[in-house]
Amino acid sequence: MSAAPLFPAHVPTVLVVDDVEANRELLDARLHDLGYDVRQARDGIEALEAFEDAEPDLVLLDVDMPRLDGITVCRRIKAHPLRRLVPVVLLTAHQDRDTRLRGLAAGADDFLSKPFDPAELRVRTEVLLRDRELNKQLDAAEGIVMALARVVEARDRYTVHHAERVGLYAREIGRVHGVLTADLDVLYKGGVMHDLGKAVIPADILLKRGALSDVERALMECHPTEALRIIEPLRSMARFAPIIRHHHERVDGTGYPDHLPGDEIPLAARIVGIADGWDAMTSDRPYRSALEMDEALHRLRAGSGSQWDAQLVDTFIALLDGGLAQRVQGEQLHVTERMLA
Amino acid sequence: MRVLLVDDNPMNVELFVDSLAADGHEVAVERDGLAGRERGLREPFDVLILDIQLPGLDGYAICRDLRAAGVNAPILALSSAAMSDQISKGVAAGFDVYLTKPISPSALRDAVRTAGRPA
Ligand SMILES: [Fe+2]
Repeated sequence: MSAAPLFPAHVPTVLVVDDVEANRELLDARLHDLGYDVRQARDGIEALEAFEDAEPDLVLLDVDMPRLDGITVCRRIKAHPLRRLVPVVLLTAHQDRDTRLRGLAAGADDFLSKPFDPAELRVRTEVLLRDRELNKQLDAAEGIVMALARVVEARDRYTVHHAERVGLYAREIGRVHGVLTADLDVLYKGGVMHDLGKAVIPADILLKRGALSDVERALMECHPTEALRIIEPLRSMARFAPIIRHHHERVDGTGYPDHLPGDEIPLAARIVGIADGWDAMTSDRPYRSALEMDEALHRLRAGSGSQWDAQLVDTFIALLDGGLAQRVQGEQLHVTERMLA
Repeated sequence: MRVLLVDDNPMNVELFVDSLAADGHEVAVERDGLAGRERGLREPFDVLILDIQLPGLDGYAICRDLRAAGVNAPILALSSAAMSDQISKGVAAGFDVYLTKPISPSALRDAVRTAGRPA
């Protein structure tokens, strides 16, 4: 019996953008021979329109074109939150270092020099398509964990969208604190999934009104380490581990699970810890109703330097003064509307 | 970050230096193994990138020597072979990341960004 594929194989689509027809046809023929679907665009505007139709897996982009040049097109693609994941190869004249530098600044992934060497074309497209496939798989793993985190949150009717808001607060604190742009996404997603471990906490403890007994508290405090057991087999989740494990540490060293003091707590966990604490104080919980904003601010200041990193608390208070809480709640409504739509 | 790149291929060097500089890194370059080891021992770097096949001294030997001397910055291997025995040899030598050539500039940028991220 011959092996039958369960699903049809995915044929990658390559978008070729060049204003010279002969170049497009040459690349089209070679890429077709390599087994790819090829689409063509004659200038930058057509290239962006082609993206609207269907996202390609790879773009080969000429630089000098009428209407919109390749560097600008590259910059637009790389400024888009999802499209930026599509690899872009700039087609440059041999040894044109100036164009290459501008391309790098615009976010180009690689370069191919004209006239094309067929072997180089094959190798570069293969490498970038392989990277893209890996990235897609990583995204898929992340998507599953994010979905699980939202399920966990849904178990607890008192903390509707708490996780989402923690992610939004954490990302803003990170932005102002000067965290690399590429890492802001880690703060957002880590914020959303920080309480993943509550999946294993019994509902009667999770939803209990009033104080927890010592045994119940000990169980509750297992949630950071339980979450690590869930994500451990997923290598792409490793970057979230510091947030998940340490979001209940305190800078005075009396937190859990590792009693880490001050700067020994990973920065990302210190940021999420503040975001989590704030949102817990300002939203209803089973054991009490939401504090007034002033009272929450007062407690935030009181915990500065003992529960939370003092410098980050200052950063956060400045953000709150600028209306962050209202913005996050606004964005929240958006999310809810999208989910209901 | 300060990055040391040890690679003997001039085309790679130019492209990688430009790519890393575009992310704001300061890149020092050595083109043979012995000079690379000396530089790595003499100066502090945040990330080191070693080609495996180098004139003078190969990447494994440089990595072992740097680790023996107490260099604990992340060290990335650039290799044309990704056989599992090669990778385990790389791990034994003390590499943190094993990258297989050909590697796109953006993948190298990502690898350096990830390696240089404080845990
Ligand atoms: Fe928690």
